[in-house]
Formats: sequence, C-alpha cells, structure tokens
Amino acid sequence: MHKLKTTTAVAGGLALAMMAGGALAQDQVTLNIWSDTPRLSMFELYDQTHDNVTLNVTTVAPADLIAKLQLAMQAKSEIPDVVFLSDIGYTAQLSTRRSNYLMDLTDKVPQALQDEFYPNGNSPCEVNGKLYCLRNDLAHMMVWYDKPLMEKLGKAVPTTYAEFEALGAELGPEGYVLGSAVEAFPLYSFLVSDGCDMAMPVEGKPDTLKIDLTTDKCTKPAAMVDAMVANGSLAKVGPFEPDFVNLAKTGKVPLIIGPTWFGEYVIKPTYEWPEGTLAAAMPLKWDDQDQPLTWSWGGGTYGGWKDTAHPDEVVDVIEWMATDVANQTDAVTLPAHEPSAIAWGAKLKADSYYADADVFDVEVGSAKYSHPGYVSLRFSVSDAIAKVITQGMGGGGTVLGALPALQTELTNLAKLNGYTVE
Amino acid sequence: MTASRVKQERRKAFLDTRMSYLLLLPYLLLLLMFGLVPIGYAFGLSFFDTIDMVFWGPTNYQFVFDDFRVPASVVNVLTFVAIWVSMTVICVGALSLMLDSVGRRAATMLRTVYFLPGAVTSSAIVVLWLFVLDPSVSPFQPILQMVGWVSRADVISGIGLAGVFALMAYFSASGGWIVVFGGALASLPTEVMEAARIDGASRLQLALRIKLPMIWRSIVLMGILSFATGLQLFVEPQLMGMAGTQFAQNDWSLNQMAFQYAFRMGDFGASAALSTMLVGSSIAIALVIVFATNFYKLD
Repeated sequence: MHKLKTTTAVAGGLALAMMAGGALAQDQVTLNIWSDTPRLSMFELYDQTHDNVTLNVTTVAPADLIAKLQLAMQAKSEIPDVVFLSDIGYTAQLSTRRSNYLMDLTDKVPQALQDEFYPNGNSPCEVNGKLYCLRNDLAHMMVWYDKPLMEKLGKAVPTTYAEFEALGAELGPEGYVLGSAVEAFPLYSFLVSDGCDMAMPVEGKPDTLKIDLTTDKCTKPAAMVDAMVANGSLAKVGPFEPDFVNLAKTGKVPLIIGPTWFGEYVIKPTYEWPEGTLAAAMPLKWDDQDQPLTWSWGGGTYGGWKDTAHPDEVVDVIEWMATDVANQTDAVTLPAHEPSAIAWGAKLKADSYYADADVFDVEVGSAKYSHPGYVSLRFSVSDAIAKVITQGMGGGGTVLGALPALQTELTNLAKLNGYTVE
Repeated sequence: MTASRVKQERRKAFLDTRMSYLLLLPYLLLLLMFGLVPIGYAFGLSFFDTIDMVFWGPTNYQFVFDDFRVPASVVNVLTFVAIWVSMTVICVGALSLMLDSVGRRAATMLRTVYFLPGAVTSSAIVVLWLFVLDPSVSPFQPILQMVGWVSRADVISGIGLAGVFALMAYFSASGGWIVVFGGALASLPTEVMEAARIDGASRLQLALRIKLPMIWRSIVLMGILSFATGLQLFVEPQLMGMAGTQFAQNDWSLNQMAFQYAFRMGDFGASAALSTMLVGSSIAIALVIVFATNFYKLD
C-alpha cells in the first residue's frame, strides 16, 4: 500500500491565499489500484505528479489477480478502480456477462492517442470492436542470437523459416539448440507464423473464431517443429528449465526465437551471455509470405472498472500509465506507445551489453509485423497447446499428429465460452 | 434398588450426556460454520443465476454436464483415487505392521522419519516433487535415466499424471497415518499377542492373522477419508504449472473445474453446482462403505 501524504496545511494555506477557490473546488479523489510489483513505481510517480488524485495502491500477484477480482465483484466491495492486467486473456475474460468488470474506453480515449500505439499494439485490448484497455508493453517474437558464436560456426543469421530449419538440420546433430519445442508460447508462435487459423477472430463478426488446423499453413510449421525436434535443434525442455539454461550458458544456443523482453530479462540475467555477444534480427517469414507475421508472448495492459465513482480520473490514470513519455521512459519493458518507446529506446541504444547498437531498432522495426490475431480470448489457447501437444510429446508424439486433437479441444473450448466457430 | 438410587443414576446419566454434548459443542459449531452452512449456501446458489440473482432451476447443472472437460476430469480423478487409495491402504498398512514388529525405539524413530514429509504443506511437497521428477536435477537421476527418461516431460508422461499426483499425495499424507496406526497397534491387548506368540505364531502370522483383523476398521476409515480427500484433488495439478507453462493442468480435476468456473469465468452458480455434486458423491460413497462394512457395529 502506498499513500502520498501531502502537506495539506501548507499547500492548503498557499492555495487559499493565491487562488480564488479554484483549486479548492477540485475534490481530492482517491482511486484504488491493483498493480504488480514492476509497475509500482510508475503508479507512485502518477501519485506524486497529480495533486488532485491519491492512489491507494495494492500489490496483487499476477496469478491471483482474476480470482481476487472475482471475489471482490461477488462481494461488491473493495473493487479496484484501475488494474494492471498481466495476461492479455484477461481483457476478454473480464468483459463478459459473468464477469463484467472492464470499462469501455472506445470513446473515452481520444482516437489521436490510440493512433500513437504501434500497429496491432492494442489488439489485445479490443473485444468485438471495442477498446477495453491500453497496452503497456509490446512482446512480439524476434530473432536473438549470439553473434561471435554464429560467426565462429560460420553461419548466417536466417531470415526465413526454411533457412532456420536448414540451420537446425546442420547444427542440431552437433549438439546445438535453437529453442524449445515444448514451451507453449514459442510453439504457439511457430504454429501461427504462416497464418494458421488457430482460434483467430473473424473480421466483422463478433464472438466468432476461425479454427482450422488442417490447412497447409498449419501443417507446414508443425512438420518443421517435428523435424527440428527429431534432429535435436529444438529442445524437448522449456527455455527456463535447468537443462536448457545450462545449454544456453555453455554456448550451445547460438540462436533463439524469443519475445522482445527476452534479451533484457532472460538472456542477460538467466542465460548470462557475456557482454558483446547478444544481437537481434527481424522475425522470420515463410517463403510464401511477403513479410513476416510475428506472434507475441505477453505484454501487459491497463484497465478500469466500469462502475467506478470517478471515471474521468480512471481514464486519466490509464492514459498516463500507458502513454506518458516521461513515465514510460523508465518502464521495464518496451512501451506499446510509439513516442514513449522511442524515448525508452535511448537507454538500450547506449547499452554496451549488446553486440550491435541496432537491437532497439530491430525491436520497434519488427513491431509492424505483429500478428493481428494476437487478441484477447475468453479461453487460453496456450493452455490447450500445453495440454494436448506438449504432453503427447513426452510420450513420443508429434506436433503434426496432435493437430486434430488440438482442433477438437479448441473448438470445444470456444463453444463452451460462447464463441461461434467457423 | 431404591427409588432415590434410580433417580441418582438417571441424574448422573443426564449429566454425562450433557457433558459429552458440551465437549462436542466447539466441533459442532465449527462444523456448522465451515461445513454445513457453506454446503447449504452452495446448494442454494447452484440453482441461481449468480449474476442477476434469478432462480433458473437446473441450468447450472446442465452447464456442467455439457462441459466437455467434465467427463475427462471425472476419469482423471477416479484414476488418481484408485491409485492413491490402494497405494495408501497397502503401503501404510504394510509399513505400520512392519514397524510394529521391530524394536520400539527404532519404530519411533522411523515413524518420525515417515512423518516428516507430511509435516511439510502439500503445496510445498508439489514443488519439491517437481524437482525430484526432473532428471537434470533430481537426486534419483540415475534411476530415472536408467528407465530412459531424460527430461521432466518424459518422466511425467512415463508415470502418468494420475500416478505423479498419487505419489505426491501419498508422501504428504501417509506419514500422519503411519503415526495413527502406530497408536492403534500399540493399544492392542498385550495378552492376545503373548497368547499368539506362545502358540507359536511367527511375526508375519502375528501381523496378518492377529493384528490386521484387529485394526481393519481403522484401515477402512483411512480408505474412506482418503477417498473423500482424493475426490477433492486440487493442489497437486494446480501447481504443476510452476514447472513451466508446458506442464500447466488447469482443468485436470473436478475441483479445479469448480475453481475455473468461479474464479476464471466468474460463474459462481456453475461452480456451486459442480461442488454440490462433488460433496454429494463423497457423502454417498462414504455412507455405502460405512453401512456395507458394518463399520460402526460393535463386536
């Protein structure tokens, strides 16, 4: 909990003396905020820079957020005015008849401000054409690689999936690994990279999803993953499991496809790649694509309570948190708001940790390839992938072989959650 | 017997009964507050649309039956219960009888050792097991690798999720039962044991023919309680996701489904319907076992 204590006596006296009641007419508004730990300092900054609003910030573990919110709504007390949503699925899950929490921001956030976000940056906030939140950070997948190691191996950084698969075929048998095949999100991102209709929203039809995993656009990436698992270039352990971390630390991972936050939050602190090794490249594309189509892994959002007593202040907090340049400059992850991102990037450009100075340029340059289907759904596709595909892989099953079962699971889940399936 | 004597006896009996109710009272109060009232509340809630608070009869039950995940989780839970209860009954029974036949001091020490894993909360045990099951960090690495399991995914699919959860649950609950059985066995009349020994019964015969028939009720009780606990399986599958999202099991057990309904979907009515059915089956099965085995009949 954090509360800003203003020196009311002094400030009040001054205000009384200087202004003709103008400032006094503005009532002090207190908003209840549920935040995660990394966002705490940002909310505190808002509190300090806004005299008319006091923020009562409570830290809630991201995994507990929905459960606590459901309880608060059921009890009809202690409902927060603004929340930080760590999972993009929460937007859809919190704007249903059953849990109707989120405020519709479509007409409250000016269009000009909405346009300052990167393309598809706010797609996880849009449900049936309405805007329910503002995105804090981008998290699209790109290519991270160990520059000296790739040079030593004499390999070029791939730009297409065909090159990526060929690189795996060469390096896999030599004991090198280019990522994980079992972690749900990386697997998810491979599977949808060629436009596979894996629970994708249908333009213009509310609550409608297209689920068809039988097309070439799905089977091709699935077969690639299977081939790379077979030759060892995609590991059957997750990227955070000790086995994988060991490989990454001992120079056995020359290249990995990961989200924008992978460099700063996984490779640097966990994989401990030395200074001057890490470089980044644009997301891969398939031969039949003109440009890459890249999935994302995460990216938090800010949402407000639709029945709050102070809607204007709530919208202001959300806008400020997501788009105030001074605030977002020091944000932990790449801002989804373009002007903020540019200010934020200066730090990255000056960081001597990276082998190239263009890491930030790659991050924002690849933002325009973000998959428009990275939206908020009322069920979790990644959980379904973990349940259907990954578990089968432990017993020797293939991704390709599991696609029919995944199609059934996703269709069932979609119907259960009130979607029309095409 | 004089009239006054009878009166005195009656008065004593009355005081005794009153005393026993008085002693039971705290338990009954807690049972009412945290058992019966919530069950009644959930039962009532299960017939309502909890969003607009309108009565809609069996709609919530219909919703649960129509959920394709429910039959799968019924199978999951029953498989788990079958493995876990038989494991508990056989292993705890065997271990307790064995402990009773070794020296008292050694038995006490071993019982404490067996109890130790149970002293850790079950959520912590799950986390511990996630490491034990990972061949790259497990202390049982050679064994796991001998079977040909090189990653955690291999181990989990090799043992099967039901088996993994049964192992976790066994180690968190068995120690307590071993202690209970230690007490039950220690209270068996020594003259019966001595008579059996004089008649030439071996340790094995003593355990199987004399001690086991004398403690079977406790074993049935353990079976019933384990069964009821097993149906409510929640912590073990729920925490699997801690090993990585690829292991997440959010709808594996029935209790998890009830949790999903309430705290993911926000549908407390559907959650109440599933929970009501869950507690109903636990009670029904316990009643069948109790009456089919003449559990409370005195010898």
